[in-house]
Amino acid sequence: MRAALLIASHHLKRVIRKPGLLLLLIAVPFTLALIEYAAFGKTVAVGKLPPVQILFLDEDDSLASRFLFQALSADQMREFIQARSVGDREEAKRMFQKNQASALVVTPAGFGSHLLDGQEAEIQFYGNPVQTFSPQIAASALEMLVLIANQLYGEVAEPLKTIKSFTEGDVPTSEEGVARVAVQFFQGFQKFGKLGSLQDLEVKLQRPDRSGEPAVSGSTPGRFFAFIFPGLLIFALFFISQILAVRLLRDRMRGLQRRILMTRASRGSILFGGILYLVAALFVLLLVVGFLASLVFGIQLRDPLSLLILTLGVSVFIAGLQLTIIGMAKTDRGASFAAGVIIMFLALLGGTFIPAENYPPFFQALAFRIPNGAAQQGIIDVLVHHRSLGEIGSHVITTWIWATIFLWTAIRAEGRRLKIG
Amino acid sequence: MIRISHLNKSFGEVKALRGISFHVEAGEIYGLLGPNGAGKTTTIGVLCGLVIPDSGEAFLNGVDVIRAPVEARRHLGVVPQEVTLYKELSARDNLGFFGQLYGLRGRELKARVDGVLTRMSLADRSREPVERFSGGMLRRLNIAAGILHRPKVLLLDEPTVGLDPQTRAAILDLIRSIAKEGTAVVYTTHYMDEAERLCDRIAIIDHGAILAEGTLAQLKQAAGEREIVALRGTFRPDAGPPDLSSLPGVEIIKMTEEEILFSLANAERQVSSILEKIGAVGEVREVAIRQPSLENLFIKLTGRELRD
Ligand SMILES: Nc1ncnc2c1ncn2[C@@H]1O[C@H](COP(=O)(O)OP(=O)(O)OP(=O)(O)O)[C@@H](O)[C@H]1O
Ligand SMILES: [Mg+2]
Repeated sequence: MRAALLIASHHLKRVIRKPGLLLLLIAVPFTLALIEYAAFGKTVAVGKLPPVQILFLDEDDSLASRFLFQALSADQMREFIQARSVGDREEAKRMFQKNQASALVVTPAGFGSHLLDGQEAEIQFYGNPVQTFSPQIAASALEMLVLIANQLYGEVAEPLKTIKSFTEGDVPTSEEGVARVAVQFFQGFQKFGKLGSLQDLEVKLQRPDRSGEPAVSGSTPGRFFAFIFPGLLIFALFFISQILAVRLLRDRMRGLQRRILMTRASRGSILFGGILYLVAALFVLLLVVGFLASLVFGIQLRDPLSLLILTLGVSVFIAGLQLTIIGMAKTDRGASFAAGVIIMFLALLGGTFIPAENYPPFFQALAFRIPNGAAQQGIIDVLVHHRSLGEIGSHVITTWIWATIFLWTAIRAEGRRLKIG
Repeated sequence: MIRISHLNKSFGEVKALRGISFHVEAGEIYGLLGPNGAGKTTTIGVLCGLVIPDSGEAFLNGVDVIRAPVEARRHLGVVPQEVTLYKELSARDNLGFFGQLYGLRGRELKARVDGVLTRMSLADRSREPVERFSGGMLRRLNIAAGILHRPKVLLLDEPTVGLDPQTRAAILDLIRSIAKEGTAVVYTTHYMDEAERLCDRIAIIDHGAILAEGTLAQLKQAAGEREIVALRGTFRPDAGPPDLSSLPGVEIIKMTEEEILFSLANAERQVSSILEKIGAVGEVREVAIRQPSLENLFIKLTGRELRD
């Protein structure tokens, strides 16, 4: 048991030392939630968060910097951010002192040309020292934008270069050239994420009734996010768990698992160390991100006991699922592929993007019988519909039945792997 | 301390071990010398309890490795052939983890980690992630992870591959000093000179069997007064071996299209008559005579050179 704890904490330490994609993935549910809010939050949310005031100083005056300003002052963003441009830093300072703005965003000279050259392009961010919370909101919104923009940028570097050759007049602008850029952009965005495209699909197909039926029942942004965020969080957790599990698989392929077996550790402690690690990592992430979301979106966390039981159940289920997959997979690519397909399937059926309580009866019944769907609905029932642990009993039981099944299959699959002939 | 007898192990068609037996006493360094695929790593695997043999027995410190692997590993230290370290962790954290798995903790763990880092000349870089280490540094850390808990039995599987001569010499010294403290050591290698310099007893292993075993002196004696004559050129092995009936005591060990190896005594006096005979079956471009040595014995036993 001591060895299992040791192994689990060792793996956790490794993740903390090298979080990799993890941080990006944590931003995903927030971003998706904001997009969904922009798409139909207004129709259901009566109360509104006061938007954060941002000043924008364009020292570059290029296509790219103007685009950034447009993006910040876009209609969809107006809910959260109100951007206005200022002439110089002095003006910004005066407005800071009068407490008329929370943050200043500066695009320094050369921003646009660096971007087009594929060099590092810098955006400067200054929080208003007088305020505490709002500059942080602005900063994290901007960070999220930059994280995602960076990823997108990797995909669209090619068309950007083409644009540059247009603007510099090396290549005459032709209809064909413009069309090519458009196609490249499109492909770039498509590659950027099955996440994104899937999400679009859902928003278009399942836009809820504009009359704002009681099922959605969001009268404040907090309630709206309480309704929408649990599914997105579980969705992100699926992807995070996949990364963590594939790392374990690579350990095995590199002989690290055998190396541990050469010490005093038994096969059992390696097996349980792995399970403990994955469950703990997922559970802690769920709690931390959930708590963060409750602060950012103003979600009131009711009935912590029910929430803990449900989130632990989901964590065990996801850990078991992933360990089963890597226990059966021959290669890391095989494991990633299998996990990707299963996650997409579960996400669609479970009501990740539109909570399943809005589904037609048959699909709703199905969603409530799969583990992520049941847990998600349980959490929504607690947060939005103020139901008690007894009232959400069926969701709790469903989640834990699946969790137990997959814990068992994980032990079987990994146990067989550890048996060496 | 280590005793294995009549180990057999097949992986499908491949017979990795065929009846391997040996024993190693406390304080002794036992060398397993053999080319690639000889069965060295498989033998080590059996001793760690990771490979279950088809038949045969293995005991560490009197404990049956196959029946009670965890108990048998209590006093075992292993340096595996591949570098198995956690890249994102520092040298210190890697050693800390392995030390804890061996039951070390607190102040003792820290002292052992410090000690072994200094011994391996890694102390000044001990806090950075090991993914920044050079190949030689990783090898050294790999060794450190196996010896840090001062095991009574130490298994090293080709630990010096890729190290420069000074580092290699330092490591051999270190292993000698570990053995002096009473540890039984099994050392696998395909470097002849390492086996000669380090090991108290050597086993020559190939195709899963021990072909000869003994101290360096005993093995050299087994090689006898006999020397090896190697002819390089173009030959026709399919035409059958040349007639050597007029040259008593000359044996052909190996014959290919490029090379013929003979084992014989008084090579210098007989070379010219050999060349005469061989002239009839091929064309000789190069002649080499090797004095009696471990290498000759090895070639004689296995028909191939170590680095084949
Ligand atoms: N897990 C395995 N599955 C199939 N064959 C194996 C396995 N492990 C070893 N073998 C085979 O057993 C034989 C002995 O391998 P082993 O690794 O013991 O050799 P070695 O002496 O350590 O060689 P090297 O010097 O290359 O490390 C080889 O033919 C190898 O292909
Ligand atoms: Mg080997």
